[in-house]
Amino acid sequence: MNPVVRGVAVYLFLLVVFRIMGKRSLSESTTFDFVLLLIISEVTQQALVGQDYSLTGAFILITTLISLDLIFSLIKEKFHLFGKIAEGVPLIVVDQGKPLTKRMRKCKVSEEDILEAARFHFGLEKMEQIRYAILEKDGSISIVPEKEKASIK
Amino acid sequence: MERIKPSLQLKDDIDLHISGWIVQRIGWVLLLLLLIAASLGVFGTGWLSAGHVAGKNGTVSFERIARFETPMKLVVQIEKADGDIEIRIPRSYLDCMEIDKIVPEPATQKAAGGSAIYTFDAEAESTITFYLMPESTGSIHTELTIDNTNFPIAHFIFP
Repeated sequence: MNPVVRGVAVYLFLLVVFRIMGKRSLSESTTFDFVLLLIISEVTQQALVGQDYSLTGAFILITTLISLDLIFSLIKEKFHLFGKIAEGVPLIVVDQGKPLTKRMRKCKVSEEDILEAARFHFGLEKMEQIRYAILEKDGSISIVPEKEKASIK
Repeated sequence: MERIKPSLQLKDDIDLHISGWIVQRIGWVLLLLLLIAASLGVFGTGWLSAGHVAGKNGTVSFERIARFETPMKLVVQIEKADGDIEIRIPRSYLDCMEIDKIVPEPATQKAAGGSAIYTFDAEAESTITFYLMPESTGSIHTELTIDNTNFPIAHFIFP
């Protein structure tokens, strides 16, 4: 099969599947996610290359993937809604120290995940010390500490 | 769903998230259906993809659904062979299907009248297996001729 068609098909399929799986799947946070990404990359490699081991085939595939990425970034620039749908938008999961549990359940984020991010970035100890926790587009959690409480020793 | 007014310079687009979660749930169901379909053989190598054609002197078992450049088997079983077994495979079929191996190997093989003709030394009951590799996608129809009996065969090859 034509490498361009293969490249486009694999790229689009992976894009849709990862969006369906949800944000957290890409953040490589657990062993399960790591194993999943490892295996998926191996399977993808076979589907992309097939039996074509030529240098030209590899160049065509790389060009295809980079062009697709470029095209998508141009579309995202032009149509903001497309970018929001394709990549998602950030979601606030903690507001003024209060975990927003319904949101957290929907996007599979636990309180432990948030506390881990809070410890990692700011050395925070408790949920009350977090002003905002945001689940970013790439699946990572960013923390805005509560100013006064963060400084309490 | 909790609606908040954060002081952050960040648009809390919760409605987009809610519709996204609905689409996500639909996607999960579709993934599950895809998994069930694949297990049953909708995309080949399964219960739904197994095909059989019976004729007066034997049967041909094959994959009705297969995948591009993925090996598959076509098994010919001859119940009563009168002398040698002759299998004719149309050239048009061999253009889309590569024969990797034939077990047992044919005693003779030649090309005539737009077909490849294989002859095998026959015994009372013989099984001949063709190991095939699809080289094109879509529908493939053909008729194998085994000792003057036609066996219609159809595959659908997924990309």
